[in-house]
Amino acid sequence: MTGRVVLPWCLVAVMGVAGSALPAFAQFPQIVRDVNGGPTGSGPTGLVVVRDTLYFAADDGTGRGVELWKSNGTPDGTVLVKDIRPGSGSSSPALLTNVNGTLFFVATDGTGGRELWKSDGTEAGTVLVKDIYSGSGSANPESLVNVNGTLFFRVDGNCGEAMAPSRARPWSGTSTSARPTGTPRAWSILVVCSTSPPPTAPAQPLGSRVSSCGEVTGPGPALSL
Amino acid sequence: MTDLNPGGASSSPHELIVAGGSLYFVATEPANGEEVWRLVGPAVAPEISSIPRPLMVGGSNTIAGTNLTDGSVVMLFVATAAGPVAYGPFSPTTTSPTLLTLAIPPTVALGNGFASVQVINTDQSFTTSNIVPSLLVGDPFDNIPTITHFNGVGLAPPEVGIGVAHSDVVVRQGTEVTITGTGFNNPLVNLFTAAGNVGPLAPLGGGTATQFRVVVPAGAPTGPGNFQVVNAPYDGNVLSNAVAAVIGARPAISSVTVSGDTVTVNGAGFSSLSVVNLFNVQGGGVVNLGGFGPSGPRVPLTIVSDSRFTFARPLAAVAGRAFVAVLNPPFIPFSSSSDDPDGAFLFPAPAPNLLTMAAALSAPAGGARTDNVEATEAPVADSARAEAGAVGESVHWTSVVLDERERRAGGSQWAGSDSRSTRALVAGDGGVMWRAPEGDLAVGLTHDDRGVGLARLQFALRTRPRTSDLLVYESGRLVARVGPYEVGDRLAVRARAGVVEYVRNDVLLWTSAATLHYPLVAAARLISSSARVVDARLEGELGTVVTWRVPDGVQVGGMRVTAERATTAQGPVLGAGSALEAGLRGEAALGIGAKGCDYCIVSTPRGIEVRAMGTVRGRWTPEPSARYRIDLGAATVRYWRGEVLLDEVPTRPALARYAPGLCSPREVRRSSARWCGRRTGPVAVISRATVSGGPDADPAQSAARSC
Repeated sequence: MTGRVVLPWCLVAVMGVAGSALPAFAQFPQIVRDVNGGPTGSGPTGLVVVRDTLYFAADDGTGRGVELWKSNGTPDGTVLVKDIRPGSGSSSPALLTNVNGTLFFVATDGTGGRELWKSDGTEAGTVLVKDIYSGSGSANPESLVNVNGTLFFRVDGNCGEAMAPSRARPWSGTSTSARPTGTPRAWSILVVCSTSPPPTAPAQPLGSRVSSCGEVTGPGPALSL
Repeated sequence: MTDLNPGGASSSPHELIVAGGSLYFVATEPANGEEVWRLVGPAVAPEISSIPRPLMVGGSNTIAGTNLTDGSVVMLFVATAAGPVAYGPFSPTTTSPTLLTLAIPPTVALGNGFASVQVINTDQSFTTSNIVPSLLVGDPFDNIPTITHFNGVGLAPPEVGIGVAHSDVVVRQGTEVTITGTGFNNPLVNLFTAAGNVGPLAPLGGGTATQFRVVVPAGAPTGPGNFQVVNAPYDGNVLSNAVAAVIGARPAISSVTVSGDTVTVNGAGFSSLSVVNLFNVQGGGVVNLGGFGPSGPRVPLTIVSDSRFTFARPLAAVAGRAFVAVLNPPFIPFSSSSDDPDGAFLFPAPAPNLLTMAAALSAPAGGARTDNVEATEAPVADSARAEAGAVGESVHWTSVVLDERERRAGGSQWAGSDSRSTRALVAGDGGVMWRAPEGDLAVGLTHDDRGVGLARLQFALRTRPRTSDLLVYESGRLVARVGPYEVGDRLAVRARAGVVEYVRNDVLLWTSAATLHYPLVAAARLISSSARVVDARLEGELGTVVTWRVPDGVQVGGMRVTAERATTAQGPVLGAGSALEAGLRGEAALGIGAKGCDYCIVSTPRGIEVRAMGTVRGRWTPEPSARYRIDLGAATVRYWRGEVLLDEVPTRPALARYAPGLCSPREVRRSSARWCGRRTGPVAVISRATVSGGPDADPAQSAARSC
C-alpha cells in the first residue's frame, strides 16, 4: 500500500529529463523481418540484389523448407517469391546470380533434380530455365558467373543431351517481360560442360581449359573461348 | 556500431550487400536467430507536445507529438513513496505520426497521484521522447477512487512542477475534513504521517460517491500527512491517489539562537520529516550548507517538539550571517518562507585555529618523527574534504613532523618542525592567511613540500620576534625584508594573476619573481618552540591533496589513501565497458596498465598529456575544473575530458580486463593490469575518483587481483 510521505529525490527521478534537448542519432541496424518467428532463425543465404530488390533463400519454419524470398527492406515487403518445391521439402535455392536484372539460381522442384531457374520476382515469373538433364537427374549447375551479360556455369560430367544443337535453342530467352520492344536481350547463357575449373573472369585464358558444349545467346557481347 | 548480440557471443554479420542505398546483412541474435538485417537511419526520436491533464488510469488518453511511429510504445512513471514505479511499455491502441492513443490499464496504481509519460520508438533504435508529467486520476467505473479537493480546495500543482499531488489546506487535529473526488465506494481513509498510518478513518454519515467527511485524529502528529481513500472491498487496485496535506501547522520560524556549536530554531510545524536549508554568507556569496545530499539531509536535526529543534553547527560554516529555512515533505509547497527575517542569525567566530608544537616538545627524546602533535581543531569530516568551490576554509594541518636534524641532535636541541595543509589551492587566485603570532615561524605556499626546513617553503613570510620584522623566504633563501609587524596583524601569501604576493593588513609588501605551479599547499615551519599558527585560512579553488604519507589514511572521494597507495573498495575485476573518472591536477596520473600506467592521462606542469605505451600522443592545456575519464572498450581505450574525446588507441590483447583501484607504481608492476593512479610529482590532486562498469565474468581473473 502506498504509504509514507514522499521524499524529494522521488520527484527528481519522476521529472526525469523533461525539456532536455533531443540527441542526434546515427544509423542503426534493424531486422528486416523475423522470417522464422522466434529465436530460431530462418538461416538466410545467398543474398543478392536484383533491380534494388534483395533475394535470398530462407526457411520460414512453417514446413515448406528452404525457398526463395525477396525483400524491399520492410517487414511487409519481405515475402516468399515462390514455393518452388511444394510440401515440406526444400528447393534450396543457391548460387543466386544477377544477370543484368534477371535472377538466376539453382534449385530443385523435387521432380527435375537441381537445375537452372530464373525469376523476375513474381511467383509466375519464377520458372525453370531448362531441365538440362531431363527427368529426375540433376545437372547441378555450378559457378554461375555473369560476364558482361552472359551467364556462364558449369554442369557435372559431359554435356549429354545438352550438347545437342537442337536442344540448345530453347535456352535462350528475354531478360524481362518488361523489356522495351526493340532493345537487345540483356543476357545470354553459355553452358560449359567440363570437369575443369569454370571461367571466373572474362580476362582469364579460358580456351585451353574448358570446352564449350552449347551456347545460346542473344545479341549481347561476343565471347570467344 | 551496435552490439547486436550483447555479451561474449557473436552476431557474426556476413553476406553484406547494398540494395537501394541500404546495407543488408545476415546476423544472429538470441531473440530472432539468424535473419536478414538492414542498416537504417538516422533514427528518429519521438517528441511529446501534449498529454491529457490529468491522465486517467482505466481510461483512454490521447498523446500528441511528432515522429510517432508504428513502433512507438509508452512508458508511465508513477510517483510513489518508494520512488517512481515504471509501468509499460504500453502499445498504443492507435498511432499516427502525430497522435497516439494510450489505454492505461486499470491495474496501474495511482501512487502519489502524479506520473510522467515517455514515448519510445522501438523501431528507431529505441529513441526516447521528452518526459512529460501530469496528475493521475482513476476511472470510477473501475472502482478506483480519486481525491480532487480538501475542504473545497483543489489539488496542486496546476503547473505540474512538483512531482506529487498535494493540497495547500491545513487540517487541524480533531477537526473534520471534507474530501471531494470521484468513485468513492464505501470508503475508508488512510492517513500516513511521520508516526505512520493513523487510519483507517471511517467517514462520517451522509457521504456520497463524490464527497464525504472524516475527522483527523487528535493524536496525529503535526507536519506532513498523506490522505488516501480505499474503496470496498478494500482489496485490489482500489486505492486513490495519496494526497499530501498539512496537519496542524505549516512550518514557520519565530527565532534562532546559537549557543556554542548548537543552533536552536523555534517556531511551529516542525516534524521528524523536516529538513533545513542552511544558508551561510561565505567569500562574498551565499552557500547552502543544508538541503539534501547524496545520502540524506546534510544537516541532521534534533526535533525537540513541533515548535523547536536544534542542530550542530556544520564544520563548513564560517562566522557571519546565516539563514535557516524549514521544509516539510513534499518540501516546496510546505516550507517556511525563504525570506522570513526570523530565520536569520549569525554564526559566531570559532575558537582560534591553532597549530602548536607543545606536544612535540614533550615527545620522548630521539623521536625523529612524531605524529601525536596537538592540532587543536577537530578532525576534518569527509564531507569537508569534498571538492570545494572558490571559497575559503580553515586550514587543516597534517601532523607536525619534527625536523630530522632533531634526531641527529639526539633530541636534546630544538631544530624546528614542519606541517602542511591537507587541502591545496588548485588553480587561480587564492592563498593562505593567518594572524601574526608571537613566536618565530614561517607560513606560506609551496608546490614542492618535500624535505624539511625553510627550504621546503617556496613562498613564505617569516615573523621574527627578535627583530619584529617580516622576512620573505623563497625556497629557503631570504629574498626581502619587508618591514615591521605586530602580533595580530593579518598576513597573507597569495597567488594573484599568476604571481605570488606577500601581504600585511591588506597592503602589498612584495611580489615574487619566481614562477608558481599549482597546486599549492599551505605549509608552516615552526622555528621557535613557542610558535603557533593562529587562525590560518586557505582561500580559493581548493582540492584535496592525495597524500601517500599519511600513516592512517584519509578518505579521498571514496578511496582509501595510505602510505603506499590509494584504492577503491575491493571488488570484482572489471572488463570492457568499465571506466575510471576523476578530477586531475598537480602532478598525477590516472590510467591502466600491466607495467606502470600503459594507457594514462597525466597531469604535468607542461599540461595534460595522453600517453599510450610510453608515447605521448597529445598535450592539452589544463582545465582545473575538468573531469577526466578513461573508457575501457573491447579493443580500444578512449580518453575523455568532459564530453570531449581526446584520443582513442587500440589495446593490447593482454589488457583485456583490469582490476579497480588506484595503485602505486610498485604494485602495478607486481600485479597484472589494473586501473591505477599515482603521484608523479610532489603534490598530486586526484579528486572524486570513481570506477564504474560491470564485473568481468572470468572468476580466475577476479581472484588474481587484489590492490
